[in-house]
Amino acid sequence: MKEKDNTLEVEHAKTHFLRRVSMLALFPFAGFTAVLLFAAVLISLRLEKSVGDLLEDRTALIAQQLNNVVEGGLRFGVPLPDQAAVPGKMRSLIANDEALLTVALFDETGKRLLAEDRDGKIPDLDTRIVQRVLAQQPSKSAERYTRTWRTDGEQHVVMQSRDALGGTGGVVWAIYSAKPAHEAFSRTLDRLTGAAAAMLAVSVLLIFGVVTLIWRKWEQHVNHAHSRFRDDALDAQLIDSPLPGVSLAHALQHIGVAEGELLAIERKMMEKSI
Amino acid sequence: MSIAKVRFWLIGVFGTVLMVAGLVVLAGLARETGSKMVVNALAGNSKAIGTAVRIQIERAFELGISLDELVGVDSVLEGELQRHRELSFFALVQKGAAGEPNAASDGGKVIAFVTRAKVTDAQRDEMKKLIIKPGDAELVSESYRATKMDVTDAQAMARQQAAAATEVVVPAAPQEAASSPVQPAAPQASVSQASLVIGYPVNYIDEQVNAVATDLIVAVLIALVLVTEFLRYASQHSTLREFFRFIEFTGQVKANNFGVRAGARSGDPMGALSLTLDERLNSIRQRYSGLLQRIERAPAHLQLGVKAELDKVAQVYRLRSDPTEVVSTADVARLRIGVFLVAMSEEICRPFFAVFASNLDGPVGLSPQLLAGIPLTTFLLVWALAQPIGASLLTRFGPNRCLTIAATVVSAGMLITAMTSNWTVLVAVRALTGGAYGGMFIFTLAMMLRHAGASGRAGAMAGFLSAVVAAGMCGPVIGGLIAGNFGFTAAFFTAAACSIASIGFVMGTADVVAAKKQVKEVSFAATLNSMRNAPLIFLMLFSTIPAKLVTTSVLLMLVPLTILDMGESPAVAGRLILLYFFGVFLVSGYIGTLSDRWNARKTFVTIGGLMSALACFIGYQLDSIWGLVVLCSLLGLGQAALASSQALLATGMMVTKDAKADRELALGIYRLIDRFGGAMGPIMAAVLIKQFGLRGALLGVGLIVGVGAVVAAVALWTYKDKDSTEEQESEESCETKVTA
Repeated sequence: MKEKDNTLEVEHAKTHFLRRVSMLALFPFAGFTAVLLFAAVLISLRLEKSVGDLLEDRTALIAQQLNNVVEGGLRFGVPLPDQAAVPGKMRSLIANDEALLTVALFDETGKRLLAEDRDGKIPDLDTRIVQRVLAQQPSKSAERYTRTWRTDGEQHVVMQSRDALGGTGGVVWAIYSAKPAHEAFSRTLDRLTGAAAAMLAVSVLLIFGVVTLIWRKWEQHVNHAHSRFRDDALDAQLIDSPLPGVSLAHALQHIGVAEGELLAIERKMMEKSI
Repeated sequence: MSIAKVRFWLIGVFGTVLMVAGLVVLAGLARETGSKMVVNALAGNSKAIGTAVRIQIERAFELGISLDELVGVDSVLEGELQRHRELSFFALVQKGAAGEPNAASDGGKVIAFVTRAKVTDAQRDEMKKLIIKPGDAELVSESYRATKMDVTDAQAMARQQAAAATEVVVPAAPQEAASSPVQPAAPQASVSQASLVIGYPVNYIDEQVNAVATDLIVAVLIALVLVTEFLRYASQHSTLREFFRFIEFTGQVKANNFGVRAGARSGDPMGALSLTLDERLNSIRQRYSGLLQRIERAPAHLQLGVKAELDKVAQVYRLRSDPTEVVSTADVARLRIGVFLVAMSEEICRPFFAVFASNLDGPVGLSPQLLAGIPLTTFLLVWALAQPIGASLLTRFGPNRCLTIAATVVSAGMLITAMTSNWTVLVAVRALTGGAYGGMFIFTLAMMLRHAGASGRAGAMAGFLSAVVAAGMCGPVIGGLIAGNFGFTAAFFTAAACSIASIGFVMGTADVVAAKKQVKEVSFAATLNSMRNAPLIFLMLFSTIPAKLVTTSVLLMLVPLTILDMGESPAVAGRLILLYFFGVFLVSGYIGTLSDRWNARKTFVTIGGLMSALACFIGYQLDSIWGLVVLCSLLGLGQAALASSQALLATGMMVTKDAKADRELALGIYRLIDRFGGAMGPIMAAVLIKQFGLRGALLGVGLIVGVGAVVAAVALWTYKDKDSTEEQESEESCETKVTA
């Protein structure tokens, strides 16, 4: 019966040891996992951004081209609804670039005048954005006030048009397919997370091994310290703790010192016969 | 160095090398995966830009200007190159007409060739070779690619066709007509008169991937901070608790605190050693009390010297009271993760909140800046005001109810924010959230201080600070990522998820000290009265306010503006500010422990102030990005040195001045003044920048904090921080009574 208890205890100690080591191994492993995953996401985002920036540049160029036509007409005093060149330009822009989804023109009150879409169904464009772009003070430089953003695989560029007198004449809106940017992100992320998973699978063994090794050494160290302490024979080996920063030597030593000090006082008291 | 230390270092170095190798592999894979996509996008751009330029040139042709007469092409191309940073060069080449000497190479005459300013001769030669390469096949060299397109002179074509037509009618034409009078192929050659070449770098992707290096440093920092924060909580898990308790216990014994008991329950080597140590410590204590009794029974003249000696030993080893069991810090860990999550939920919204607010439907007539500013200010104002009120709420309703309600209100606020599109609702919700958020902070801080007791206050304060700072480091980056990729609503929901999770951690927080200590009514009047206190006023005016002022003015104004001035991107400023937080995060815990151990609050306050001043001075001297790096990290270290010590010094001054003053209320008032100093920072910076420029302003705030630190140090020279020692003794006697 007693023997059985003993084996049970050994079993228990073993599972306890394993659980503890796995818990400790979790610390570096979680750190490594977090670093790799964060890195994978950030790198993929960087690639998405670099492709996205190129697409944004291209969309802005298209808006600029349409705007040039619009402003050319305004300069000659042709009001927006009467500009005959604009619909043609819109159609040719759409025809020339198959990634261009929609172009639209708004007048100075924010009303949509013209729009051309690849699929023929023109999306609802948020007129508040147009209003805000119209409300911006026109800049004096050659650059037109522009707002750009990317959502749901679409790159939007909204550009302010200037009339002949330098006031706001209208707004040009271009929507470009941002699918390549999105693809850059998802494809890179897939690849990187795959690689990260492989690295983590290898590292988990490595980390577990190292932690087991250190922990075993630590327990040996504690055992050694215990026996030395019981025998009142602390040795230099105790200073060399497997976990630097956790030194048992000093703690054990201080106990001895305190005992010595109390003993000295006791002796003094004996001398004074207290 | 011992073998164990060497082994530990080797493992550390090996781990770091592995991690760096892993990151390099990821970057390499990304380069491989992305390069084709980026090249495609670049080719598309060069084609689109080329088409736009081609149309412009063709329009000139339409107006009857021939290629030779074309002026100003260079400046047009240069303008396009400036506008499109991804391109490397433009060239306009006249096609070599058949029969001319260079026809074999089809190189033609280069009409215009525009490159970026920073180009070596070798690169120029490489570009030139590419430009005059014959044929329309893919133009690729070692470091450049190019798109080639024809520029057609329709007018010239028409002229030539007309000429060809008339040639048939009028045979008395010049030479060519004689050679081939009826051959339409001849004018075909000059239909496309010129070609436009648009070049871009092959290694564009490399630049992008290299820029990832700084991203990676940020990734490593944030991942480590985040994991540390969560694992600090995980370390309280049952399998590890004993281990950390053992370390805490031996650490206490090493620091000569023999008034502790391990109370180990496990039978492993550490548990066994703990038992032995407990026995030994117990025997020491018994021996001490035996000696003490013997002395006290002895006649007074014999007691003299020996009593003093024994008292000294008792004081050094803290033998006077009954031992306290080394507390498992589970409750503190839960509070810490709770406040971390709530702070996270706010920090996640930080990068995009202003944009979100300014896009909402607000009252007409408010500018976008005001639409963004009003909710932000409301939030900060209510937050600051919640600080002094928090203490009395905590006393009245108990920590469990206070913390749970505060976390719930923050969560509800975040959820409503995620779903609202009405600006007025947003402002109201922000005010509510600000109050709950501020309450959460002051409740948690107060509870952590109660847990720590007098001997560990600075450590607890630093623990609280580093949890908040950790959230400040991780939140904005994560929030930015989520908002950028999935929209504002998703980011707000993530923030709400964080604060909802925090409810689980703070719920059921037990009121530790209140059981021992009598719950006294919070006396507002007494606490206010305790502020009429010369040392406190000196500390506040010359240390607290300047120290906070220098942080906000440097971090919110001087660093971002200097970065802008240098022509760097705002992201660089973000990373520099991260460096500040990392400095605080790294050392504040350690410094807090030291401040407790040495009981040296005043010294740390002075050191921190001087370090902040030094940071500004070095930033002023080194007029470069490295100056800013030193500025931010040193400022972080300086703030870490002074923050917790200062708060404790100030509240201690108030409590020792008037016994009725409440410590937690005092802390609330201190934090209110502290925030006030912070709010002044940007304004002060703006005034200084206007007067003395950016660098002058940096020197200015440095002088303010430096002189303040010196004045405060001199004014408090004679002030003795009686608070922590007295409290410790009274607490100990209180404990003795409880156990007796």
